[in-house]
Amino acid sequence: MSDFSKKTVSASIEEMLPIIEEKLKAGGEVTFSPQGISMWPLIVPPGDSVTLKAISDGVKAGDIVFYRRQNGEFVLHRALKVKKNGDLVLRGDNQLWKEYGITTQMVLAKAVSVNRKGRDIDFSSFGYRLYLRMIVPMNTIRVFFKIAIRKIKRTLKIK
Amino acid sequence: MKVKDGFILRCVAGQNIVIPVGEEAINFNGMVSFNESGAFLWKALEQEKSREELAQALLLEYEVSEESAYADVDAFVEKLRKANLINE
Repeated sequence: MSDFSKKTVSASIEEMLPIIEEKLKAGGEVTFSPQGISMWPLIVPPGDSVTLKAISDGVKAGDIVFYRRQNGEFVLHRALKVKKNGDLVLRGDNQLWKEYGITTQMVLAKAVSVNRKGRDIDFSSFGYRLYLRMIVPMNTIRVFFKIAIRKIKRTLKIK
Repeated sequence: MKVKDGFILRCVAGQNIVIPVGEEAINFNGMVSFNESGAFLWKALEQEKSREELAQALLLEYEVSEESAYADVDAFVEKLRKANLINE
C-alpha cells in the first residue's frame, strides 16, 4: 500500500513557490536543480543544483540572483554590475545579452552555493574567483567561438 | 511513537512532502514524500501513537487485512526511522 521506492518528480518553480518563499522568509536555504542552460558552464542540468538564500546584505557584482520577470518567468543569472542607483545588470554566464533595470527589491534570493557534478563549489575559492574574472567576461568570445565552430562543422559536412 | 518536531507535511504539486520548518534548509533533490496512506500515517503520528493504534487507524480507513495493516505500519515506521523523522 505504501510507496517506499525512490522516484523523481519534476515540478515547476511556480508549483514550489509557496514553500520556497516561506523558507526564504524564515531565513532558511532552498536547494533545487535549475533546468535552463543560461548558466553554463557553472550550472549544467540535469544534476547540478543551486542553493538560494534570502538577500540580507544587498547584492554585489558577481552574485548569482534569482528573480521573477514581469511576464512570470523565473530567472537565475549573474549580477554583472550594480549601478549607482542600485539597479542591477544581469546576464547568464552562457548568454550574450544583458538585462537591465532589475532592482534589488525585485530579487527573491541569491545563490550561496552551487553543486557542480556532485561537488559543492566554494564561492570564495581561488578557482571560482578566477572563473569570475576570466571566463565570465569572456563569454562573448566563447559564445561566438562556439557558433563559429558549429558553422564550420556544418560547412564541412555539406562538402 | 511520534514524528519529530520541526517537520511538517505539505501537499505541493500533487506530492505529500515533508518539509523542515523554520530556518532548516530544504533540498528539493531528495525529499521524503508519501502516498496517500503514508500521509495518513504521518498525520496520525503527529500525536503519540503505538504500533497497534496506527494499525487500527489504517484498518478503519482502508480495506486491508490486519496482517497487511501491520506490515504497512512497520514499513512506514522504518522509512521514518531511516530518514530520522521519528521519536520512539
